[in-house]
Amino acid sequence: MSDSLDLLRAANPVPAPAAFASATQRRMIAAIVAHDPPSQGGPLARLLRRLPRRRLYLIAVAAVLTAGCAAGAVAVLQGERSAPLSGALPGPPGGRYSFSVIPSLGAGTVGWCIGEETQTPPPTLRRLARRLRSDIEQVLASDRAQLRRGHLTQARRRQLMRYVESTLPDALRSLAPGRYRSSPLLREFARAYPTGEGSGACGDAATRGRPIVAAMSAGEAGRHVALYLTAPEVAAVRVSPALTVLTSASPQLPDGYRFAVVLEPKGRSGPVGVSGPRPVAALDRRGRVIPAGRVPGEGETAIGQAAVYWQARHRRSVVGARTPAAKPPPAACEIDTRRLRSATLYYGSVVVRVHGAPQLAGRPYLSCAYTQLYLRGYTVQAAVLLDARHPGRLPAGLPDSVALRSQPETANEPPRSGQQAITGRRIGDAWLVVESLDHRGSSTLAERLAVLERLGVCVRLHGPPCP
Amino acid sequence: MGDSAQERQERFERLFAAHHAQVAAYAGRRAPREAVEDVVEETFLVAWRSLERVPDDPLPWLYGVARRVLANRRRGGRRAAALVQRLGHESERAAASPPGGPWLSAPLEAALRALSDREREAVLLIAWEGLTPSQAAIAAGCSAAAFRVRLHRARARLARALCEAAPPGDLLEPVKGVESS
Repeated sequence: MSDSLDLLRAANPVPAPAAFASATQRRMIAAIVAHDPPSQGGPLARLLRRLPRRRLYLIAVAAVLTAGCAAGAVAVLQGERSAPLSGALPGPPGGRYSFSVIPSLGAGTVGWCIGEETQTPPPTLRRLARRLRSDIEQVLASDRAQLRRGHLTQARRRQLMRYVESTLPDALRSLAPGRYRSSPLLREFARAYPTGEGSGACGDAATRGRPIVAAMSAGEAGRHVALYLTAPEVAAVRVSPALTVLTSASPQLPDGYRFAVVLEPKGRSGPVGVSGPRPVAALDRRGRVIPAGRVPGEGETAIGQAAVYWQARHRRSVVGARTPAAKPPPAACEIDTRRLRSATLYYGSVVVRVHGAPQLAGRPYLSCAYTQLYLRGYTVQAAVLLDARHPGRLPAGLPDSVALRSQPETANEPPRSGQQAITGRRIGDAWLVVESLDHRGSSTLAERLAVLERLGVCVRLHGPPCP
Repeated sequence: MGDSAQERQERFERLFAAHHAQVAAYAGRRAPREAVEDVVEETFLVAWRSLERVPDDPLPWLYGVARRVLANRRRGGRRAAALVQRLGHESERAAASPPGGPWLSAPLEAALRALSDREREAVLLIAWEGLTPSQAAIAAGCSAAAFRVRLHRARARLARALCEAAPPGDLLEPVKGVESS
C-alpha cells in the first residue's frame, strides 16, 4: 500500500453507500417535487445555459453597458437652454426684460405671482398709433360677423372696453422719454376686472396634474418673451414641435420650482399669442409629456380655500354688487391694524377655517388673511402666510429675500421686475408680510418695518376663531 | 398533471432511487451525520429544478452539485460560528464539525490538511468516490486535463505530507471505531 491514494481508500469512512429507508425516500421525493420546476424558456435561454459561466458574465456585463448607454441616450432630453430671468429682448438692440416671482397674497390662495418689467426705447407717436390700431384690429377680427349684423354682445363690448382701458394708459405712459413701460398697471387692472381667462400673472401652486404653475409674457410684437414657472419635476417645456426649452432652477424662485424663459424665435411661431403666453406641454427628464389634466381631489378648487371678503364702507363703490361685510368676520387668521392709527382700511379677506394640502409640491404658502390699507402717502397690502401643506409648521423662507442684520426674524425682498418690495416678519409659525402698492407711491424699507412693528396677528387653527 | 409532467417526475424518481445512496455517502464522508439528509435533499432539489441539464452519466454531476451545497453550508456555518463567537458563546455547531472528520487517523488528517481544498477534493473523488479522472473532472467543475494536473500535484503533495507526518504503519490505525478495509 505504497500509493497515498490507496491509504486514503483504506481510510474511507463510508466504504459502502447505504440507501435510505423507503419511507424516507418517499418523504424526500414528495418534498422535492412539491417545488415547481422552473420555466425552461425559449431558444435564447437554452443557448445561454450552454455557454460557459465566465463567458456568460462577460456577455451580461456587455449587455448592461449597452443597455445603460442606450437608456442614457434616450434619457438625454434635447432642447434649447432657457434664457435667464432677466436679459435682452429678442430683436433690435436696446430692449430688456426681467421677471420675478412672489407669493400670491390674496386670502385663500396658495400660489405664486409673476411680475415682469420691460425696458424698450420710447416709440414715436406714429409707431404707437400703428401698433394700437393693429392690436385693436386683431381683437375685433373675431367680431366681424357680429359687426356686420350691426351689434356686439354686451359682454364683448365690456371686454373691448377693458382692453382699451388697459392698453391706452400704458401706451401713453411709454411715450414719456426715458420712462420704463412696466406692467403693474396691467396687474392692477386685471385685479380690478378679473375675467378668469387669459394668461394671468398669478397661478396656483403645483400639484399632480398642474405642472405649469404660471405663465407671463413681456415685450412687444416680434420681440416677445415668455416665462413659464413650473413644478419641480418639469425638465422642459415644448412650445411647438420645433421648439423645446429646458427648464432651469434659480434661487429667486420658490423652493424646488423651475422656470423656462422662451424668447420669440426669428421668423417662427413664438411663445406668445394674441392673449398671452401660448399653452405649452410640460416634459419630464425622459421627454415624456407630464399630464396636465385635473386630478380629482387635487384640482384647483382643492387648493384654494374659501375666503370671506370684507370692504370698508367708504370703498363700497369700487367692486361688487353684493354688499360685503364692513370689517373682517371671525376667522382662523386676523391682521390687527388698531395700533396703526394713521391707516385707512380699504378691503381684505380672511380664511374662516384652514386645512392643509399635503399633496402640494415644494413648500408653498397659504395666505389666510389679506388687508389693503392706506397710510399717509403710500398704500400697502399685508398678508399672513402659513405653510400650505401643513399649517402650524414653520413656513419656508421668503424666496430671494435677505434677513435683516438688526432683525434676523425679518426678511426683505427688494423691489424688482415689476414687483414691489416685500418685507416679512416671522410671528410664530407664520409670516406677516407687507408689500408696497405703487399706484399711490412706494414705501421705504423703514416704513414697511414700522408697519410690521405695529400690525398684530392672530392665528387660531383650532378652537374658537379670532375675534 | 400532464403527461410530460408525469414523465418528468418519474424520471426524477428513477434518478433519486439510483443515486441517492452515493450522494448520501459522498455527503457522509465530508459532513456530520446529522447534515447528510439535508445535503441529499438540497442536491436533488437542484436536480429536480434542472432535470433537463442532468447528463446521461448523472453521478459526477450530482457530486458536483453536492460539493457546492456543502460549500454553501460551510460558509453558512462559518457565518453562524462567527456570530455566536461575537455574541460571546461557545459555538457547539463549529465544534461538531472538525475539518477532516472524526474518523481519520491524526497523521492522515494532517496530510489532508496540508492540501488545498481543490487538491483535497481531487484525491478524495478518486479515492473515496471511485470516479475516473474524467468523471471526477465533471464533479470538480473543470476540464479533464486540468483535473489530471491537479490530481498529479495533489498525490505528490499528499505523499510528501504523509511521509513527514508518520511512518506508513501508523496511518491505518482505526480511530473511534471506524474500520478500515
